[in-house]
Amino acid sequence: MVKILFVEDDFFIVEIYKKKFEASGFEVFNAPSGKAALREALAQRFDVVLLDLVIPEMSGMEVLRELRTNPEYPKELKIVVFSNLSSTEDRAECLRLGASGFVSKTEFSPSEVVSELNRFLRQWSEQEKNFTRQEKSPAEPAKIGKRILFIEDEAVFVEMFSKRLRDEGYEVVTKHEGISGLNEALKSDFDMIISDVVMPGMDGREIINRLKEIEEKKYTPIFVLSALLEDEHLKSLVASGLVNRSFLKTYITPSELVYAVNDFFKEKKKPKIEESK
Amino acid sequence: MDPIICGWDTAKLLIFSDNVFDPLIYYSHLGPLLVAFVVGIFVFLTNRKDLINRILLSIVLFFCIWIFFDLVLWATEKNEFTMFFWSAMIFFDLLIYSTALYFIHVFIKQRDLSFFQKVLISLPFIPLIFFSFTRYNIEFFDFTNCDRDALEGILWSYTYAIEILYTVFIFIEIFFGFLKARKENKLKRLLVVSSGVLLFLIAFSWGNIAGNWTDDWTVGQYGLFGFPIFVGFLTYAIVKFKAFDIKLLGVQALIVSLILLIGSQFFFIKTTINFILTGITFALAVGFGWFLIQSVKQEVRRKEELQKISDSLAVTNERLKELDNVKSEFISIASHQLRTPLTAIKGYVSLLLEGSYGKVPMPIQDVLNKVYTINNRLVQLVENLLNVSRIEAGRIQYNFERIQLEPLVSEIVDTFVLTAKKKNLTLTLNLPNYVLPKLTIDPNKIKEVVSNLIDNSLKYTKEGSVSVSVEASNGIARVVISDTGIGISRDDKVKLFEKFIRTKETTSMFVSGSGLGLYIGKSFMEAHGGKIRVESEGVGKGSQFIVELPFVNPNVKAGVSGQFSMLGR
Repeated sequence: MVKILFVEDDFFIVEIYKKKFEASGFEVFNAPSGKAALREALAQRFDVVLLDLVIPEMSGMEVLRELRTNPEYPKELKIVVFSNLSSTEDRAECLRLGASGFVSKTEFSPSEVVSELNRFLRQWSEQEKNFTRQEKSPAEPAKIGKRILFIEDEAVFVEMFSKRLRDEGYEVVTKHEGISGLNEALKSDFDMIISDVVMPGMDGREIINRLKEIEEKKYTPIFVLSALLEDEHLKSLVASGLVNRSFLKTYITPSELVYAVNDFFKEKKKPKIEESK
Repeated sequence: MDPIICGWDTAKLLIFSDNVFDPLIYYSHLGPLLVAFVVGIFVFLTNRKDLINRILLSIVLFFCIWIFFDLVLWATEKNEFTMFFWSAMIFFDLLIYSTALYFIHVFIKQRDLSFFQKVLISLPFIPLIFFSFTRYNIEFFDFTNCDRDALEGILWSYTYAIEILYTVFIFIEIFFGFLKARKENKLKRLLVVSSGVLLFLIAFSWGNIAGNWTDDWTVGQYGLFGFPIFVGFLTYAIVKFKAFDIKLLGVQALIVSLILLIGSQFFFIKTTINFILTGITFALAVGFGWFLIQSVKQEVRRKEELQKISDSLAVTNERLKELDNVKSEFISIASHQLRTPLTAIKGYVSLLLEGSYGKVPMPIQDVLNKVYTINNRLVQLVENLLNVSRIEAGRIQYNFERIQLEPLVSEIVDTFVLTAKKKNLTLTLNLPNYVLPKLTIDPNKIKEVVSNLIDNSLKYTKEGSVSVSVEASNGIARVVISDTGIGISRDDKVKLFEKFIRTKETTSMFVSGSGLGLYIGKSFMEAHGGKIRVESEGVGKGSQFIVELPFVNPNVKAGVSGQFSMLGR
């Protein structure tokens, strides 16, 4: 569980956010002043400090400096400045002192703040993974040993999503339109097919229907990545169970797709192990 | 044949007397004459310039004259009249057939006869002109009895032959007409009209054929009833296919027959008092009849005008709907096209931030985070635009649940506490001191509607307060959002819930805003069987938005628990 130290003196605001964070599975401790914050940060291990800049006793900026310069505080502690102050000088100063990110109080509603923090957390863990991988470079990323066929007509998406999948360690074959995509799927074996829906040549729905008619290809998991999820045909496709998961393009980042793929393989493994036992 | 020997009295108007061999003759002649006359005149009046109407009127007039001549020769006591009218009838006999041919030709070909054809069709009349009043017409007249026996001469045989020829032509015209008329509607019309014409001719000639062969003129008279059949068929064809008002025809026929009936009384009246009484009745009938026909005519005309106006309105409306659809379709396509770059920006920025392309210094990460956030806002805007086209296509999905309204509203209000605080506005929530029943609603949609309203109120209120109350009465739950903000003018109130509408006051305060929130809100509420409305004293006097939800959602069947998940899919 992610532990948050919430440095904020307005009890009212604390209540609102605490409720939100706890509902999303965070553990929240409140420190109503700068000194209390420093005390708590020493006493317990936190993952994130959510720091208001206008607090009693010490300014947020001083707390930030102390947290970053005093070696008693863990270096990997993430500090997100949570404030109304958003002048360029303030932001630059915070960054110089070692802030990990900003969340504007006024720009985001409480639930959006929660999702912003979640995004930051994911971002940091990805950064760590990427840096360790890049330090090993030019060595290839660790192979997972799964082959994925990615069918998508938009070149920019092909590059973006397949790069992320490859970084994760998947072997990715890309095809730019429907017909060659289907041919590739028929020619060799894949652990998963990720396909767009609206494409020139052959529609994603058609590819799926054809594959499901073939005995050897029937059980290959299929993810659908579409720009039009409200489309009736696609809906019926998902409802019919032919497709394992579907995503709306505008709502997904490459990493989120990768997480979904990872989770899917993890889930798939579990019952198999139980079966073999 | 002497009137005194035969006991004949003087015929009134040449045709009314007891001299006729059978009173049936008046029914068989005057009935069809009346009907034919009224319909002929009426059809003619519906469109005086229409050739087919004129021809029909000619047939009717020839027929009327023929009928009159026929009556005279049966009713008159004077031998010379009988001789004259009998001889003259031959013209109208042939005229009726030739105009019938003319009629059917124009009806089928939809164009006039050529001059040459007209000459051709008129040629057979030449012998009639020369020989009408010679012995070739009425060869012999029996003066020895009171039976009015005549021996028709060679001219009559000639005329019958020409008539048979014309009838054959009519058959040929009809035959080719059927070959040409493939369309169902036209075929039916042709069938009606041609069988009308043929039945008429058969019935018409029946009198002569039966009379000549059997010497029983009574049987022959029945043939004349064929004319109303023909006219009836024509009327049906016109009513059915030309859409004129049957009401007017009915009234006119009724009035005219009434007047004629009253008028006919004059011939049987013996006393002066009765004469005066009948005269008054006649005058009243004519007067009121005329007024009645005028008023019906006016009504029909007004109805036709109304029909024309509403037809053109329907066309305009159709066009507007089309335009609206085109616009929504455009939005849908444009939004879809917008999604591609937005997705790419979102994806690449996230990859950059995650360090997929190498370490990114903190100041640049900060900028990228801003880009990511602002891009997400754009994504949301595009989704809203798509929502509009989805609403219009009826493709919005609702997930109805039975839930408590109060906690939902207080949760929404919570999210705005900070915004209000920052603007120094008081944001208050008033919940009722009783518990509302659970409502069948889609919480996300209600959340969107109420959030949007509170957001608007906070946005457009410079100082003062925004209060949110939940209340209920008469089976309706209400969420009322009142503010002390810019208010709404009377004009704007009307169109506020249409799409892409923003009031003058809002645009002067904030440039952004799509004007979609209230439109979406309205359609969401309608799906709940509820309402959204606004009250405001005017510009600068604050406004009150009221969301109404019925306790029982009429769009979800009560007591069917499976319904919710079904709708949710």
